[in-house]
Amino acid sequence: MPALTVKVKRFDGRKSWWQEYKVDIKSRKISVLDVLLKIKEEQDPTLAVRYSCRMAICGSCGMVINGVPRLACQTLLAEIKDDTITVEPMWNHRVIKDLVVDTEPNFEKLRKVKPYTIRDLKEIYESDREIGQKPEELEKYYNFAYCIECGLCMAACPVVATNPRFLGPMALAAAYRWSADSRDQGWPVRAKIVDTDEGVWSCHLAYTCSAVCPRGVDPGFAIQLVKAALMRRAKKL
Amino acid sequence: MSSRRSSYINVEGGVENMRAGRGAGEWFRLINYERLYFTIQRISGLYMFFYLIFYRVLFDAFVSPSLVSSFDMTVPGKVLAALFLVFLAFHGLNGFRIMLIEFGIIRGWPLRNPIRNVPGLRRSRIHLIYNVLMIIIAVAALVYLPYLVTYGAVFRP
Amino acid sequence: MSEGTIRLIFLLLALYVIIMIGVVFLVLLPMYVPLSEVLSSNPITVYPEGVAEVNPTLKFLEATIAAAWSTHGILGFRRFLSDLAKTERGMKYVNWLTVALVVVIVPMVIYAIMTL
Repeated sequence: MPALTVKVKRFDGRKSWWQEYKVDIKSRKISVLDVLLKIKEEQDPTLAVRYSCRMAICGSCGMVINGVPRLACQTLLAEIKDDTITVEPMWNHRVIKDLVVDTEPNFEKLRKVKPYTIRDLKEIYESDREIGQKPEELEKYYNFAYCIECGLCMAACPVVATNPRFLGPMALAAAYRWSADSRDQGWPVRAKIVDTDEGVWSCHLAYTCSAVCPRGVDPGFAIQLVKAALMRRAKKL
Repeated sequence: MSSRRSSYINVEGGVENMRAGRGAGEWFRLINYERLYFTIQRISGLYMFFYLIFYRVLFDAFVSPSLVSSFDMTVPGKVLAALFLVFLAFHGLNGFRIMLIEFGIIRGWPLRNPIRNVPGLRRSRIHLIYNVLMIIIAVAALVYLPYLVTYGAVFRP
Repeated sequence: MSEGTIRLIFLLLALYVIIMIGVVFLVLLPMYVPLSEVLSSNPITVYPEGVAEVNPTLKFLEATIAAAWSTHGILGFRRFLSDLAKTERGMKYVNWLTVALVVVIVPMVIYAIMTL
């Protein structure tokens, strides 16, 4: 197996630079995260990498690999045909160190769209009625509930790059997911939040968010569903 | 956007060093074909806004119509006019596609798959057909409209 | 005015322009001039001066198309600038600029077409 060349964009708080590592690998059926951890273990323990589950569930290891925002644990070397891998921190995020970025703004935007069931509390506390959901009602939003909030869509979005006020695909897909849930009654509240230039109307259909989403959530499509509902003045999603 | 939870992070140096990404440069990074449409839509919209409104209509009507007519006969004038028409064709076609998507007329449904996820728009047959037609008409416009500007007769009814 | 309403107006103006340009070139002009002549002439010379020469009353239709087109363009420019506005105050300036452009440019464009 030829040695792999890994170019990593480093940042130490003052300056950024590209650092190259040569890594010997025995198989291409390992992930980029495995390669980065091998570098950390054998060559450079100062390399900062955020990771957790190693199986595309937690969304911690988002980074830009060969020019595309991806999860490092999910990207196998076999998918990258090249012997040179370029790894840089997620775009549109403030870098803390090396490949670790500040994802707090993503969660602040997510909180703005009230990502929880909004329902009459009196009804919940005073009645014993079970709030059921039919399979067809579940289908309406189930796909968008797979979001692991990794932030790759926010990294890929060209509007988030220039407009810090834009809520972004992650928050807007969550707004659709919670509003389309039949158990939720919060669409009128969320509609006021997303029917603004900071909400869905700044989306220009670049669709890169859906192209890079590791879970197939298709946040771009969720945004278009919200737009269609707003245009039609829908009372319920 | 300020971040109340990350106020403990002390970062020295300029913003350029801290920020991953290129700001407005991100508009020109191409990853998928809808991103290319977005970039061309933006460029064409801006170009047409300045060419049509300021040059073609306002400059022609209020400053010097003869200057506009004589510039239109020169090579740069014809290039700018041909570019305007080609951009108009693409901008209109893509804009109509956006309209159909935003009104909810074109819609598929996303497919989550262990091997390859497929976004909803890619599963919409109308979207696929419209894309193909759009590309054919845009290529035809790219050839025919500059030809008309260069060799077409001056319209004298 | 909510952003959704502005977007609806923006899209309807564009639809109006697309449809009316098609109507002018393919339906109205061929009533006076053979279609082959329309489609083989330099489009820049056909519209708007050529249409006005063929039938001066078509200037009113051209003026509505011009007003719709320029309003659509100004709202599109607003969309471009809103991507660059970093703060709420910046967005306020963008909105004021949009209103100023609509108030100044649209009447000028209508006047320019009507005096062809």
